[in-house]
Amino acid sequence: MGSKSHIDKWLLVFAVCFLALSCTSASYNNLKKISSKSGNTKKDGTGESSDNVISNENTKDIEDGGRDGSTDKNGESKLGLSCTPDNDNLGVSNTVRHISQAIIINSLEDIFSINLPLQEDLFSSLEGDIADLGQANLAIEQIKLEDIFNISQDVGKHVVDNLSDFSSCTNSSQASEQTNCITDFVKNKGRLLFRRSLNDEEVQLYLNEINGNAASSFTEKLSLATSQLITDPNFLYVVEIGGDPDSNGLRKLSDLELITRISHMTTGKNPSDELLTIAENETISKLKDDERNKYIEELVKDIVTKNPDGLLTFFMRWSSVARISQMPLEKDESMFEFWSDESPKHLSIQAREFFEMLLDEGKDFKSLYKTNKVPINQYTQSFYSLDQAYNQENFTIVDVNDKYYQGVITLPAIIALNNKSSVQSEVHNGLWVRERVFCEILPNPPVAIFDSEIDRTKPPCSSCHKFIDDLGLALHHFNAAGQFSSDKLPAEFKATFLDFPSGEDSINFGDLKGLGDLIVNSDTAKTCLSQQFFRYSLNRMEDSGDYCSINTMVSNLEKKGYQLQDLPVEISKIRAFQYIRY
Amino acid sequence: MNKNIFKTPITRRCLLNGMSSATLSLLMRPLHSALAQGESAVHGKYFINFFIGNGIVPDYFYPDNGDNNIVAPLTKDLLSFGANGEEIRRQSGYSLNPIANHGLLDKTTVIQGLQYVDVGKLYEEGSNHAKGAVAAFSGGTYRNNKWVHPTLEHILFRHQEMQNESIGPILITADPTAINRNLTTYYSWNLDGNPVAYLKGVDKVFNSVFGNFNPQDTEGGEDPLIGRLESQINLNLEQINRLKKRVGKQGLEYIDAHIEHLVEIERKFKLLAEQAKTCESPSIMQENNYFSDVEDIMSILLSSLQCGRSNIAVVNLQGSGSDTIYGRQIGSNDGFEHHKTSHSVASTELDIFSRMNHWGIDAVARFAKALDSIPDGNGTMLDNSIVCMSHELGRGRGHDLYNVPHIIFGKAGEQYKGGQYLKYGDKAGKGGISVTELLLSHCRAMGIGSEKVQKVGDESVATGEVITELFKNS
Repeated sequence: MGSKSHIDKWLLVFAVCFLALSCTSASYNNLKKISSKSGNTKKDGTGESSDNVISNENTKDIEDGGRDGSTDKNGESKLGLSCTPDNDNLGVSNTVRHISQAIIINSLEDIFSINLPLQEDLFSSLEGDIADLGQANLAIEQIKLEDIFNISQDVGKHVVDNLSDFSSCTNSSQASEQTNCITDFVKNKGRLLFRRSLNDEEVQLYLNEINGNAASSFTEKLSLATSQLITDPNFLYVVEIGGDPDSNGLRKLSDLELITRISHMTTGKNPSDELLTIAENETISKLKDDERNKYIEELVKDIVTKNPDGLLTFFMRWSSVARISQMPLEKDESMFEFWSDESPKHLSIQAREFFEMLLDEGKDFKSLYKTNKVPINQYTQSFYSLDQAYNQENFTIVDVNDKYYQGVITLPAIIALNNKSSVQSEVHNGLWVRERVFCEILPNPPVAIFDSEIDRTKPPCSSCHKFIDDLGLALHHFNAAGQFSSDKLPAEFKATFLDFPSGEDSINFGDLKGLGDLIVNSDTAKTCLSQQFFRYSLNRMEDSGDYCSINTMVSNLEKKGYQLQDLPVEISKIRAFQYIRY
Repeated sequence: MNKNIFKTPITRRCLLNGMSSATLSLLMRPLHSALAQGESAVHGKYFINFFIGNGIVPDYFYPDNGDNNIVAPLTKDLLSFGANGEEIRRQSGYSLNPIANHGLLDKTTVIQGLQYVDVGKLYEEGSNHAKGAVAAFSGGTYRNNKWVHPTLEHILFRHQEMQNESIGPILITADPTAINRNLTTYYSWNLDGNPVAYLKGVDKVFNSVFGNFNPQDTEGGEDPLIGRLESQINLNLEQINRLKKRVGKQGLEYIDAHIEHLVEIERKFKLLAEQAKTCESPSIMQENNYFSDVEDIMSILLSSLQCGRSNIAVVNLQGSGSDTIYGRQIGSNDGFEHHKTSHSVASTELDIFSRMNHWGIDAVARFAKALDSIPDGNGTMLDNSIVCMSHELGRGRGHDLYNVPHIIFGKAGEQYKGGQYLKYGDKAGKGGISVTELLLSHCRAMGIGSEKVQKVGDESVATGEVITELFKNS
């Protein structure tokens, strides 16, 4: 048996101090200088990789860039950035990337008129939030591919269980007629799945494989064709080749490629038959440059008005609420009797309802962080201190006290997600604000710290925690479950913000309301939301070549009052959206 | 929609529900010829870790309550039987009786006095439940929601290295009622060492072990699913190769990865089709209650080991704070919640909780007995296994992080002695043995030498020592 010597606590304290001092030296300077190209920074708390996450330094670059008073191609930028071939040369993309699980499910439901189970029941793991987009270009994981093969069998079965569309084929004894039916099926469904028409060679390939297979009956062939189309890489991967490169290496996306981007961003599924027809007719390519953006703007507006699912998905992923169903979110039921296994689901639905409310009402960036209107129903009312009961399943928009509620940052779903099972976490709540609202990534804490033995308000720990904790403490009137628990708000909070360096180490933002004001007055926060929408829409992280495009987008949003529903409209007009460089 | 539409309904074996080993052997006969040809193991071939929450009643659990260190043979005399072999409750050793009941005394090691105290401190959550789970699995290497080099990861990689093939780590939770699941059932990790979501539901567990493709037993005929999948793969490969030409070198990396996945999937379902001829998938009841879930999971696990689907498994038999209600399982007409009962100080409820402990030991002992009925090399699968039942806490009502029991079934090939009762002190900070030493011992017994792993657990607490008494050649 080995010796049982005790750990020398002094040695440990020394080690802790040493590591913490590293944190000190990293602290403020690192906060400003973590490069998006470093690719190694990890976020604390969420367990997600933040590879390639843009730092605040990049935000500053965007804001500082080209303060020469010139105008860009789309009009004068608020920040005066002049877009030139040198600074608007776009980040490098891959020519191929897989589509998201949500798009797979939404598209299959749409194309095959099937109600599929929830994503967590279909896939072995769920996709992360926006911060995980750095991983989005990888090939589909094997386990997910197995899931897709499995789903393809389910959908194949569904098709043969609902053969009403094929009655003429099933009733026909003519082999040729049945072959024609299969051919039409492959062509029609294939077009919707592949986001383009299949060429003759491909159709023949399908027919050969289907006829050569043991599947003998018409229904078996139909089922097999369905499964094959669903697992076909032309469905699972988006390919963007673009046209010939211009002198700067930029390639204009084809109409089909552009329409696919627009559809995935706005509706969260493959382009409809109508959109594909627009693309196949090369409607956009035929337009002159000055008409092009106007047409795209109208098209995107029209799609978002009819179906903003893609935009809602963005807000759910950006806010991390989409993660609620991804991992067990449990609260100590001995402390929170109202909490049940269903609570995460209800909070997730409420959050989606909140974002839908903002979009429906044409709300702006300010409302996202400041509104005191909250959708409440029978399942979510216990999270609030209310004068009356809301015992309906349907949501009612309720005005809550803006002293205690400030838009998205006080949604119970987010607070519950950030808190621990029985106690609040000012660190994780503060980090959420830092990372999601301001796009600022902090270095990891030293590893060997005993939580119970540290004082985060004193050096060396305070060197990092001064950026975090007060932001989270401003939410301490909500308990660990995200429920309103106290009407006594601590009065004075302060935190260091890169927006407001002005020679001061920190600024007082007062209370929760002050935090809301601080956010809505921050250019960094506005740029940050746009950056993250950029990542979502293009399914990649931005780099320095994209700054001009992003700046143009922010500037145009500002001119129109930064309405949230304009996010897809404005991004679809920037060069980074319409062109590709590889 | 039923995700397992291609899964064949299979005759229920109920193998863990009181079935005799003779009957079990009979049912498993088709496998014996294949498995009996397996080589004898110098090191452990199979590693299964059962985790159970909420602690124990030390007075009725351990054979000895004195303040002394013990290295003794594990005999029936240490446990709680009357003159006629009847089990006597409220006596020392009672909860361990199933080891004797299943004839496993000579292949089992009971360790009393494991210390989690220093290890538990390393985890930031306040609950001793969480600390106990972290200590039991990783020696305190859980940081920022990430496991860092958990013991089983070492073992997993070692097995991959040895067998040159992918071995799926099995994460199984049998306890859908537990609170604090975000930690204590969140202890599976992928091959990159990152945690993956735990599996909730027997069907998902089944899929994690046997894959999405479960060929039907067509009694010699070709399973139509195999033909379909082959056709899909063929067409997929054809199409992806065409795509490869379109995307050029920029997308080649991803296309090639996709092709590799397709090839692996093809290999996997063909292997499954082949195995389906000789290796029976388990029966599962899916009755959606804790006790049938445990049986289902044990059944899945046993089949997965028999069928060569995995050599490594982690089972959360009972999560922290579990409010599973025990009744007839502990010989009572009333229901008692596991977690609540663990907190009780009343002697009647201590008795109840010791019976729950007894039930847990019995469940794992039945599984070990089933493994012991399957020939493997010159011995049995149990001989070549480490089946470790790791407890989350010592005394349940105190949420003690000291005097924690671990029960080890099997001998890890020729590594562990077995048949021992090892006691290392039962007080906090006085004596006791660090769990990091047990975890390192498991690594060594599974063939992971010091060139690979010097210490297991957080650097600040891992001693780099093993528990030498465990080893045959000590």
